[in-house]
Amino acid sequence: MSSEKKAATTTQPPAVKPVEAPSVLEEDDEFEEFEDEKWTKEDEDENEAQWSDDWDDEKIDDDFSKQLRDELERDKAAQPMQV
Amino acid sequence: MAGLNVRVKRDLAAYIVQLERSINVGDGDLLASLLRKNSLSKFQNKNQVLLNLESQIDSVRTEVIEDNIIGHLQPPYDRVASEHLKAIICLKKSNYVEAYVHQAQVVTDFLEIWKEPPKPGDYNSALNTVSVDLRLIGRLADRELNGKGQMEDKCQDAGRLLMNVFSACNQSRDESKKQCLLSIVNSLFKIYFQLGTLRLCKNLIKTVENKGSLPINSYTIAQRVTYKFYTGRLNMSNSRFKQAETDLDFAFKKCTVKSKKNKRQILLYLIPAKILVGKLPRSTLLKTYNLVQFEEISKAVCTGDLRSFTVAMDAYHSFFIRKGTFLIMELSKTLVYRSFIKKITNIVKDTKIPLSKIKRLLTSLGIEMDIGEIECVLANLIFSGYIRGYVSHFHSTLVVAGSGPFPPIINITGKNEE
Repeated sequence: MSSEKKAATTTQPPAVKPVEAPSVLEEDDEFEEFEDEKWTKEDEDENEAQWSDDWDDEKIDDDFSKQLRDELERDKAAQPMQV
Repeated sequence: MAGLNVRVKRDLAAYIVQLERSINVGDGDLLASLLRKNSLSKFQNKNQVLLNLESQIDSVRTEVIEDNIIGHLQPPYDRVASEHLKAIICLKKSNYVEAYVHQAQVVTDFLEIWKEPPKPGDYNSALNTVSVDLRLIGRLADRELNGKGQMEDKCQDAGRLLMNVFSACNQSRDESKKQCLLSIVNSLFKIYFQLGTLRLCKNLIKTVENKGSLPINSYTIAQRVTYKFYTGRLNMSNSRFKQAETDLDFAFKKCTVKSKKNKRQILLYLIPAKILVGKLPRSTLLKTYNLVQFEEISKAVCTGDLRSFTVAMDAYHSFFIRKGTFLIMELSKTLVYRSFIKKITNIVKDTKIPLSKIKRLLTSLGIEMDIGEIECVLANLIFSGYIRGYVSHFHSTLVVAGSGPFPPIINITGKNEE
């Protein structure tokens, strides 16, 4: 008896759900088991500075603000009577 | 061939000796290492005897395994060992469905040993090992079934089997055995997330957080990080963004920096949650974890640039869909609108803004919206609390409050969470 089972591998799989297939098979999406169950504080990263929560200010000196201001100026020039 | 078999027999004998030792002295870690699929786990302390065996075992017929194991070791360990080795053989031949059947037997038998061990010892890590492997093999088996166009039912079966393990842990009167609970819950989370049966997670959480259960701090940090990753994602899918941010933030901070991949996995959900509560990721963070997909979007939340938001959402549409975060990322558009309006009021230095002006600015960005649509967006922003003010339909004008027209986002998002 041959131990080879070529037949199973050469059979063309039916083309079902081709769109979903990658997401099902994507190994990357797995949250891995950790190598060690325990670690020390030195292995952790509590750095809050990786997030910014002071962006919500009144500043209007960025490129996009300038773009909006230019547009508003152009608008005002076109309609000088508008209040 | 005969020479090979001699070697295999020698290695099998060595394997039995080690198993016996682990049983006799109750060495749970050794037992776990002997029941672990080395080929499945990338790391973990690999057992040399098992590695030797695994390297050549695929040339052995399963009968040889049975002949050399069954009866050579006290039952029921002999059956656990022989099923374990048979599973390894199948794995090496890529017969995942068959491997799953053997591994399911290992888990079922080992659970009985764990419940009433013949010798005192710590069998938790071994139970956890065989359970984790069951899930991983179930995944491979389903992939094989999918390829053959057959019904993928092994992950589901693994979920059913691990529910038995979960119940046994939960019902155990032995405090030390309850230590297994969180790792089994985490394995079940992984299965339920994969199968999309999130509603099944609720009871698990209830058990873990039940007053009679072990305090969460008594579990290992690895299990707690994994647990919070999944509860965070669950809260996310239930629109409890503040709670999601708390859970995922814990997971990210506490996760060992040695596992960059898991840290990145956490960020995929933590970043959207943070954005929704008004905290934006810095470029350095996005670069470190190769998550440029969030760069333009968080910038747009800050500036109010609706066009670059739309462009970025289009560009990374399939990425967010794949990660299951597309709808949540879409929610951040509300914050972009808020910044957009805020910017306009700051530029014109007025509390009254004609809707026609907003329309013209949108047009300049290539976004065509009629006055009715704009009114609707603004009404939503006001209703949700992101803007304080009102829309005068009669004057077709947005009127924002004289003081504090744009309350901090953190005070708004999730204010209705229980």
